[in-house]
Amino acid sequence: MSAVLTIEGLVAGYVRDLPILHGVDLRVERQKLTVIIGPNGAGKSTLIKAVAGLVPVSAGRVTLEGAPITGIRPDQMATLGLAYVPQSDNIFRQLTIAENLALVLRALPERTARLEELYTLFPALRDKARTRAGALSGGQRQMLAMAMALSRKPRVMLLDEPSAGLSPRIAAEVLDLCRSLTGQGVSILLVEQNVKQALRVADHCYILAEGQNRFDGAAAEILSNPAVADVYLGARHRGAA
Amino acid sequence: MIQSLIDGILTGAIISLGAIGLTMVMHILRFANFAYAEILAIGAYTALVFDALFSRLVPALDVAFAPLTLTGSLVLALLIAMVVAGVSAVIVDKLVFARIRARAGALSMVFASFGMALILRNIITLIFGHQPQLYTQEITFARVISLDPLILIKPDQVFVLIAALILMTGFHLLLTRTTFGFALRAVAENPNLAQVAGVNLQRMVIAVWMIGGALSAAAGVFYTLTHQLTPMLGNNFLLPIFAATIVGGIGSVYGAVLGGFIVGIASGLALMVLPSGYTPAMPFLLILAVLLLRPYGLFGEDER
Repeated sequence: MSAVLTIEGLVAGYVRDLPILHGVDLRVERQKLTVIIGPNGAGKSTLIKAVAGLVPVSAGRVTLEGAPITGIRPDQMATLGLAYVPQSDNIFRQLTIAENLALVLRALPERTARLEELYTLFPALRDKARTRAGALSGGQRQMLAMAMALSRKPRVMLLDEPSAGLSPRIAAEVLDLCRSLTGQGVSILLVEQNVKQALRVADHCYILAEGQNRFDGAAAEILSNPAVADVYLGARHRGAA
Repeated sequence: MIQSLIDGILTGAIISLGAIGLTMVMHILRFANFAYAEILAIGAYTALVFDALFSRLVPALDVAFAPLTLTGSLVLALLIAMVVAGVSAVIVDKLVFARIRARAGALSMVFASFGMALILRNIITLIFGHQPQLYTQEITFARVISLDPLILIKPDQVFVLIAALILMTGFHLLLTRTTFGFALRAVAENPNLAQVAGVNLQRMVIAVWMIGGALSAAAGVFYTLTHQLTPMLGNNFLLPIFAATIVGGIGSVYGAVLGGFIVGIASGLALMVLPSGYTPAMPFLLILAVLLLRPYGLFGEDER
């Protein structure tokens, strides 16, 4: 197995000298879906924000296909093949769907063809191309956010709770879409609170607590580990394995 | 009443131009920049200098486009003033605000902007003095549009309104028809997400200062076409521009334009019922009313 994204000893936080992550290690294997779970305040979202360049990193390193990307500006990440979808406010509400997509595609020479591909992948977006993104439903917004992230054919996608706020059916569809993207060559690092659904689609799982690695293993096996289920996920998840 | 309305619309157009840049800067950089209105004065005085220079170097340019008092040299000076004001805004940001932004919070930025406003105003006074200046010594008479009710308009005022509307339309087209405009709107709405979408935030901040500075310089020059120029120009426009920004909703360019006209018209109409000494309070009243009824402005969004 080859890792496309590697995180080694990452120390990061929003305020200098007050780190939230205390030396996190993580690997995202090629064309696999890796999920990060853990209790609230574990540093899950901070971790992928730090990888995306939005949170200052004070120690450790992140590599993409072996090349260091620690400290690179967020706007340069996309050109390197790394896309990030925030949990909320992940689209520009004041812009139409077409304007949102034109914005992320503007640097691509083949933008017209790529726009067609995205509309083919998400037909509902074509139908509402002139609609302000703020008027879309939660599921449609998530589709637009995914389309924007996919616009430049990323090698790695970082998704922060893509199912948050969605109905169970739409949430399952979004996670299934994440799963299907791995078949198209995209490696995915996913943060999820919806543990049961996340583990259903994931290949590998990392558990964080208090900004540190606590456990990692194959997603299919993680809930059958009684210690893990009890301590980090709550006993109620054990039966779901 | 119609005369007051027309005067209010003309003033409103100038306020709108100044408010467009302020609303974007306030939203993107998250601080109330009290030095912003001084850019109007920088623009107006730069145009004064270059107008005089071009008039002497190329006397043929010093001929007014009748019936306006506007000359070819002032048109060229306006263009240079827009560039100089934009560059000045970028330099002030780099030298002062960016450094404070990196180390301190929004409150420090506000106090720094107060200090910067005083410094800029005093530099202008030191160079040009307190005495009022004019772009032209020619006296232009207002045209009588109607005798009953009496409506008087100067050709320069019509030009200012049309030119301001052209600039606003141009900026609207930039925002809605170009990917650069999409990027500007994206940064104004959500700077972090804009970066994730591949927008270079530092470049966009410079662009916002340049555009805001250029539009403010135009506002300063347009105002001075029909009024005297003193170092207090920026100070006099500070409150109206802030009122327009708050009324329209911080971050909304269209809100700033509408807010500018609302403030201008309200101040104009207030002259009908209040002594002229009280009309400067009108922007204050509008700010209070908006903060009480709709704290995020007419076009702004509740970000709680």
